Amino acid sequence: MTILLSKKAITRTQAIIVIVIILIAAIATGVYFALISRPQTPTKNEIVIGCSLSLSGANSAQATNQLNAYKLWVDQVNEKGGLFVREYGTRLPIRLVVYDDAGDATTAVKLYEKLITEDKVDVLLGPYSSAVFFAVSTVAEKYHMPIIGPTAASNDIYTRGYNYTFIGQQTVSNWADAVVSYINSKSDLQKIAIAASSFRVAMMMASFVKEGIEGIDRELIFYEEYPTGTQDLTALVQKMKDNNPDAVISLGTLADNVLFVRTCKELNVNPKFFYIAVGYDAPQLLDTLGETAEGLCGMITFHVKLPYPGLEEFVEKYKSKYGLLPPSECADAYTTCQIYQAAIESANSLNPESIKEALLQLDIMTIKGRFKYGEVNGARWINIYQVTYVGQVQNGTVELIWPRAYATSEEIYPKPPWR
Amino acid sequence: MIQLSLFLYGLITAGIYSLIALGFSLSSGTLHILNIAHGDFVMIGAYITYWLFTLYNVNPLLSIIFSFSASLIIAFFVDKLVINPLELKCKNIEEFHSVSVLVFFALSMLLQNMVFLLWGANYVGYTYLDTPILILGVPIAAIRLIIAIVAYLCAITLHLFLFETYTGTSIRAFSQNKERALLIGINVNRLRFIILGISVALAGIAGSLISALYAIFPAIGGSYLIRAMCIAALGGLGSMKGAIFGSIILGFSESFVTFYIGSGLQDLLAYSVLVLILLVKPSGLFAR
Repeated sequence: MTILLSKKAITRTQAIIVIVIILIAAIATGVYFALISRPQTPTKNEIVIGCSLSLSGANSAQATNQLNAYKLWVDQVNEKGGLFVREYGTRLPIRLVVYDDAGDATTAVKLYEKLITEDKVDVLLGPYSSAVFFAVSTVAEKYHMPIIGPTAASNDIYTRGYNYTFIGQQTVSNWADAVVSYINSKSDLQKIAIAASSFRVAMMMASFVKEGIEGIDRELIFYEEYPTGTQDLTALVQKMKDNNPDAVISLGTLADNVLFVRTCKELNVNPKFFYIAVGYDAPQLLDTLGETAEGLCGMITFHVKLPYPGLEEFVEKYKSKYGLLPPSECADAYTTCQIYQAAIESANSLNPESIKEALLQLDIMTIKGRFKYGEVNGARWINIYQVTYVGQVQNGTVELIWPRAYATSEEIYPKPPWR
Repeated sequence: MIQLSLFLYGLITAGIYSLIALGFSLSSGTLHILNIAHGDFVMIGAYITYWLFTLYNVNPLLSIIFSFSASLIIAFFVDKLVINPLELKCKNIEEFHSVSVLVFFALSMLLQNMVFLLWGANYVGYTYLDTPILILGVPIAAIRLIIAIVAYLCAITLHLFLFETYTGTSIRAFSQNKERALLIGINVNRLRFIILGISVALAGIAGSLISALYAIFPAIGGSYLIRAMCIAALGGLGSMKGAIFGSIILGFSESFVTFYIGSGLQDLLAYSVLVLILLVKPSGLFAR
């Protein structure tokens, strides 16, 4: 039977066509993948920075101050055309996204989730207060995004072993160290009394001060905690007075401290050293207490007369923009921005991992002094050069008296009697 | 000597508490509303006095008149815009009572946020007559003594008003049975405004007085509201005698417990007494 088939499976011409097709396909595929994998210069028009702040609620005044400092920095950077990020080969202007968390940590957590997943922010700024920052730093950790807490001083935030949580000011234990070292410098301050309200940060500071006082072998003759917002402290102060203290330390909210100081004046408690925290440097304290505040010492984390580079300019610009001297939360917020700026410029990138690594390598001077992150006594990442000061009201203004190297005025010691 | 000091300090604190609690107890007991905004009326009185003192140097004791007048205006609007429409819409007294909680909670938020917007959330305050004077050898700041005297005078005036005047008798009749008060020709709408006016005015006066003692801020009313509610519950809602007695229990317990046991336990013990009394007499000690 004759079968009409060629001896070969395909003809030479057919073979050449197939080979050409295969070659063209191979070249095309090669070119395609070469194009795909070739690094492209990324494009970006702006740096989006986001945060939530307690713009309503009990902390709205301080949170607004914090926002004012953020805005001042953003304006300053944008006036110069933005931040230079080498990764993009250009200066990128900053766009600030701000939400109101009303001081509620649960709301803030949701807002930070939104900032990261929906708004796709490049950088996270911190919210107001330790309590809110404690919660939102967990979100930042989850998404591996660094976050700096300008007004989050609680030590417990930084002892959780988090890798992306950075401080923007001094820790509460450092606040306590300042007053303890002052007391240690005075040999006649032997009998110490501490009254602390149930305000979270005050209680934390009280425990550090108590520990410090016991560490320097001074006698803690009185220690009492009372509910914040108590309306009458006469019985408590009377009990303290009976122990005749050399130094009195009052820790609480500004309102708690006002009542405590007034009650001490009423019952004529006149120790050699009278120290209060928190809210000592708020102008409202001096307005409220008037002459009664003369000679009162207290915790200071920032002072306009400190000799740090850029501080004078910051104070002037803040004053001309907002009409007031910047309170401490403004300085904390502005310092945070300075740290971010240095980290982004040094990272040459907006990649969160690169920014985090840059933050860990930084060693810079800010308006609040030298800043370098490290781990101290199990707390990270905190400033290893942090310094807290002791202030004293002299002729109606707060002067720095401790540490001596930073003193802006001679201390008045012992404290003069109540006026 | 210590006991005398503690007694006097307790009495002064009780005076301030009674002023706030009397107003709360009066409006809650007679109008059948749970006035959650009562602490905020205190806050507004405090801010009025603070601003008058700071801006125009008006004597804080004189500014009581301004707080009193402003409180009456507030009471008028609360009566016309809140309570009256609510009363017309609610089917029965139980519904009125429960809805009033929500409405006054909203009013509280409104007042606090209004103050936030107008004057910010910062603590503010001033110093006035804080020099101590000796009473039976016990040092007491002059302003605290004056405050206590004004507070007790207000309580006595209120008592005389309720028991010695026709309007006072009408209020008591109204609080006992609204329908019967209507039947015997009492103008209940007018009475409702008078009761609310007295209640808010007492809060305003208390606010004026406390502004000289404490740093004030928009949320300051919360702690006073809680104390006023406890005192009213302790003494019996609507009972003036109960409000005074409850204030004294709370004032003394804060003073004596702090001294002899510790500040941390003052609230615990005071409120334990409240729970015990309510277990024995759920309507309060002096309830009718």
